[in-house]
Amino acid sequence: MTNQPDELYRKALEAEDGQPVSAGARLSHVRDALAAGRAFYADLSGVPEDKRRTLIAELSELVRRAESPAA
Amino acid sequence: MTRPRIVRLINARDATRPFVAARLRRDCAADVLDVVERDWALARQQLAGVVSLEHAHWDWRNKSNSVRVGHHCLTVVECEGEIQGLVALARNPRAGTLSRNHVLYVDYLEVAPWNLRVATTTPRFIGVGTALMVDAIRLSWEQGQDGRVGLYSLPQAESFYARCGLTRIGLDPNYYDLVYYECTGPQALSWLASIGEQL
Repeated sequence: MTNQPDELYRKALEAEDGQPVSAGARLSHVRDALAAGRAFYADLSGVPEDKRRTLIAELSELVRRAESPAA
Repeated sequence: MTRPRIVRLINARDATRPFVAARLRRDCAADVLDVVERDWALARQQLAGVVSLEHAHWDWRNKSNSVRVGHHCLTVVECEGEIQGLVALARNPRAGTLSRNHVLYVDYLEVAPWNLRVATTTPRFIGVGTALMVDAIRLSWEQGQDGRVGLYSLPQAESFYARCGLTRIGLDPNYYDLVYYECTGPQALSWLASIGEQL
């Protein structure tokens, strides 16, 4: 007697067949963005730790404003 | 850490390709990433000369801090004493694209290099990605997102996520030009039913 749910599940697994299933950006994507000038690297090691979050928020806001259409 | 759930994989090394039981563990500690990096790094190096691996140059240890501070939760699939695949899910749901409702966001998903079909090797286990996606949908349901899931697929994996019933939203220039996929609740439930699974 066949078990249809098992057959359906097996079919799904066989379709996966060891092919890539990766999701999410890798270091290579970050490096490509840096190389293409779409991202920049900022060394914050000299910034006191308690000030870094605020600084990052300010930098992010600058980028957001630059992306907005001119008023 | 919650109690493990038994999931099924296919043992691809056996000519009869039997189902084998694997353990799916949610909410794993960050030190799992050290184990993954140790075990998978060597395999990645060995495979890198054989086939182009999109997921090469990926250091899981860089992600461990986000787990420790509670931004992500880790789910792993284990079989024969080794981690066969892993997914990191954002603890805070994100705004969806297909609807105004929030989705469970899959920040990154990967299977062990030895489970990839390459030119000269046979995968050890097949179905790790499917098992992880099934559980992501279940978790989305449990958390109130009705099965909705969103993620950015690497190019080589797009056909997998399309088969999982996710909608291809499109390339996102704000996320490394990767393609964003998302499923609605009905799409998720329909996919589960189509593969003989249920919530």
